[in-house]
Amino acid sequence: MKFTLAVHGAPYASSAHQHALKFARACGAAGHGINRVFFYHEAVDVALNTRVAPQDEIDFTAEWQALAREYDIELAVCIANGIKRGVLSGSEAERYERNTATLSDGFELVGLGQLIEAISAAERYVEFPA
Amino acid sequence: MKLLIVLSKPPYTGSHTIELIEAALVGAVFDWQVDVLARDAGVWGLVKNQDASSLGVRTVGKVLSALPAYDIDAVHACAVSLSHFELAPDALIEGVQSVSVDEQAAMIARADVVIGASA
Repeated sequence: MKFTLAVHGAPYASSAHQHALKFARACGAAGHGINRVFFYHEAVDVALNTRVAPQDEIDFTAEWQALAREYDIELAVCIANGIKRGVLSGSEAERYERNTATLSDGFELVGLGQLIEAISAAERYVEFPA
Repeated sequence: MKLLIVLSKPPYTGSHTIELIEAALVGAVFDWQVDVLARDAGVWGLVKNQDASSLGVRTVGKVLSALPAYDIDAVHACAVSLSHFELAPDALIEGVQSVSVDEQAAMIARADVVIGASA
């Protein structure tokens, strides 16, 4: 079965990423596919390349990157939600005249249409709220 | 495809409400049949004559009033939530339809996709 996942909660102010990662790994282990993970609202913070996880805590950014590599999953960050929270790709940093890009490797800034498109192509949509 | 957007957070606590309305608009652009349901503290976004200009954000009531222009004809409101916050029909923007809990369950059952349901 093909899933689209959406994560809405912030990495440390909610359990959204923890739950979504466990769900995604269970999907992969059971042979299901995930066409896209869409990060919305405060969930976009996970894509910041300026975050440093404490050694004894989970690094959500690295976990998503590893999962995406293992199961060939797209990590899509809502561009509107992302740029207003400081998540900038190289091209967006240039466009808005900021000194540096802050988007982590493996993540992509995309429009909301990409969420709608992914849901259309999937059989199940699962959301992880704040 | 039938998309149901659920607004359950207070309209001006963070930007969740506006961001979910944006998802509704994009769904409509994709020719999906979009319904919007306000419940819990989300019903405060339906109060008429709001003006959020002093907050530096868009006025949720005005954005919701503009939804018919995107073929999103009705905004639904949880009758229990309206009653809880003592919001009478004449306190709300035009076009709001009050729906019971059973009707909300039916709306959710009819939808192919629900976004914001448990936020």
